[in-house]
Amino acid sequence: MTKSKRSGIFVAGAILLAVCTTSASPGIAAKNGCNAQAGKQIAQMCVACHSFDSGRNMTGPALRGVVGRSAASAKGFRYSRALMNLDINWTTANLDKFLSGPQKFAKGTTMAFGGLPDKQRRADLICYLKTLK
Amino acid sequence: MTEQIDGKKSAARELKVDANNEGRVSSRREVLTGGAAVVVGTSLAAGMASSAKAESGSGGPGGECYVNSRAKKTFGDAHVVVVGGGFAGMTCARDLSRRGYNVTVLEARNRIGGRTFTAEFNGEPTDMGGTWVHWMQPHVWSEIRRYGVELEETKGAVAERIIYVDYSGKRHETTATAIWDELEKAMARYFPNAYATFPRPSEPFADTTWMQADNKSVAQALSELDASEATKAILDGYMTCMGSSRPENHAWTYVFKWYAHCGYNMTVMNDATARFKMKGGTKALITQIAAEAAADLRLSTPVSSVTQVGEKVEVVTDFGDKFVADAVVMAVPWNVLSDIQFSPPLPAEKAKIVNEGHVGNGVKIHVLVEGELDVMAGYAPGGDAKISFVMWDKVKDGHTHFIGFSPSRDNLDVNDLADVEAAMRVWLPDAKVVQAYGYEWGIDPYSQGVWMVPRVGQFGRAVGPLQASHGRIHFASADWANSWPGFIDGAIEQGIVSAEKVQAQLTPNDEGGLITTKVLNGSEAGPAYP
Repeated sequence: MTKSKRSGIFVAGAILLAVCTTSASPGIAAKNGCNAQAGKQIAQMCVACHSFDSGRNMTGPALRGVVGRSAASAKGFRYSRALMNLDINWTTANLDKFLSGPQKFAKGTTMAFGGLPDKQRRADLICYLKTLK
Repeated sequence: MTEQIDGKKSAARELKVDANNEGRVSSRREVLTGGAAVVVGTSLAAGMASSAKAESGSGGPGGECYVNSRAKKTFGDAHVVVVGGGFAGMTCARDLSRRGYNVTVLEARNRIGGRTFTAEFNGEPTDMGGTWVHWMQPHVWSEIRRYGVELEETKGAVAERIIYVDYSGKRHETTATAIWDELEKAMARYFPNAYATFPRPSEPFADTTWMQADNKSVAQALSELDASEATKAILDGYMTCMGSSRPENHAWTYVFKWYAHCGYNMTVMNDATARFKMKGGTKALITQIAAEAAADLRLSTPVSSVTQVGEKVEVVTDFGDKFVADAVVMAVPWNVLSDIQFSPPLPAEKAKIVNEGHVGNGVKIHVLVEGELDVMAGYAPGGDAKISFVMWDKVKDGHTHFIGFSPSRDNLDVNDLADVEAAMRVWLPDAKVVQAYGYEWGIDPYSQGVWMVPRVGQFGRAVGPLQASHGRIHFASADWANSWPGFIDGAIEQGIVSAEKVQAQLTPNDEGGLITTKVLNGSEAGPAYP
């Protein structure tokens, strides 16, 4: 993982995050220190393979309703053995671990995503995933 | 649950997609307009019937027509399994199924396309993998012509505004008008005696002079180049991008082959490899190829072993299903082949090369920047660059979309917007990155890397063994194409070539009922040529 020179960029990034946090739209309030609106923005990096609202399986399974459901349970999607062997539910804690490094959490997963190193961004993303019913 | 599938011929064959009981099947119109998530095709039985109709006299001046004998061959229950649904596999499946073979395509991912992947970015169909095409690439061009695919342009490839970083990290702004001529001359020195070294670029074995030249890395070749530091820095960024790995790690002969294919000309090579893409993305082409394939397509079906038993080949999936075929085509990337068990084992030389793998494993990233910025191209030299080469692609709704290439995931975290922004600010100091996405081909088990890029000294050794068939098991991938390895063209070439290999292997002899071309309205019935 790269260690970027964050000095000036960190300030800009923090301002960006602060703007997102304080301008949360009605209905997606900041709860429990996480921001679903910011999470929706982060989720843009997942749209190549996943749907959020439609329930449609794409390269990856539909994520509507993922929070709380058992792993590898999106209807009609054939998962890798790695995901099928995960005998867990997608609790906030499990999602957090998975999203920080999918290959570490579920060795052999075919999900080609390196992970989100930033804890707050993971929290915001999970916050957004919770809104998908 | 295990299932043995013999590929018995069904009465009306069309591309049936078993996409895990998704229950969504698309019309041909949807396929052609790119609205389909899965693919379905029309029955090839109709195609077969029309050639029969031609014979019975519905065409031509004399009321009869020439009949293509190959279309009329029947192959009984011959079954071919194609492992891999990228451009190589789908082209192979199309060509074989049109000739009457029963074809099953087993694709590991829940989509076709392989290392081409059209997905949404900023609300537009955007290619996450292979993208650019050109008329100097005969196989893909032929398909583009056949299916009427239109081209769009990445204007950044021919930008007037050029920004580069030199070897001391200093940023410079210049123009194509000021430097392109010098770049071209430098490239002609970088690839000296180009015509003599690569006289037959599409036929790697016809003249192997190029193999003897395969003795240095891109970094080594740049260090030997007589050119200004600025020119070298630009060529460095460019070559590093093309090799998708550190410049000391990949072969100078790799891009040399591209150059040879483009009339030994940098302007043409740049046009051919970075400028023109398909309207609607590569999806626009592969869905049409797939729509013509009368095959069973099984998505989410990774293969674990391929075993030849007598005159049959058994393909077993990760889920234990077994497919029995008369021949198999492995349309699988080089770096993935070593995950599949072959029995009998691959010959030693081939196995060794398979296990080596290639070094193309960098990053391609789409970046959305705030503001509608001018068309530009950016270069940064060396294996540590966050991004080696960046091109303006389009503006939309107050934002600018750039496409960038990094030599390594170690240099750039595509999931860290701050890192991406730092990368863009090398050229555009005020850039505000609002969104970025790069598919992580390197950690996808079904690619384990990007386009093929050989190590120093590997290219010539690898091509022959990788192409070589293993009994009834054939191998088709852009990674070992004759003309354009590393490109969609290479994949299509190999799809075509492997279908021919299968046909040659499985074709019944003349006693089996071949129908020869009928010459009509001539002075006597006989062959068309004496």
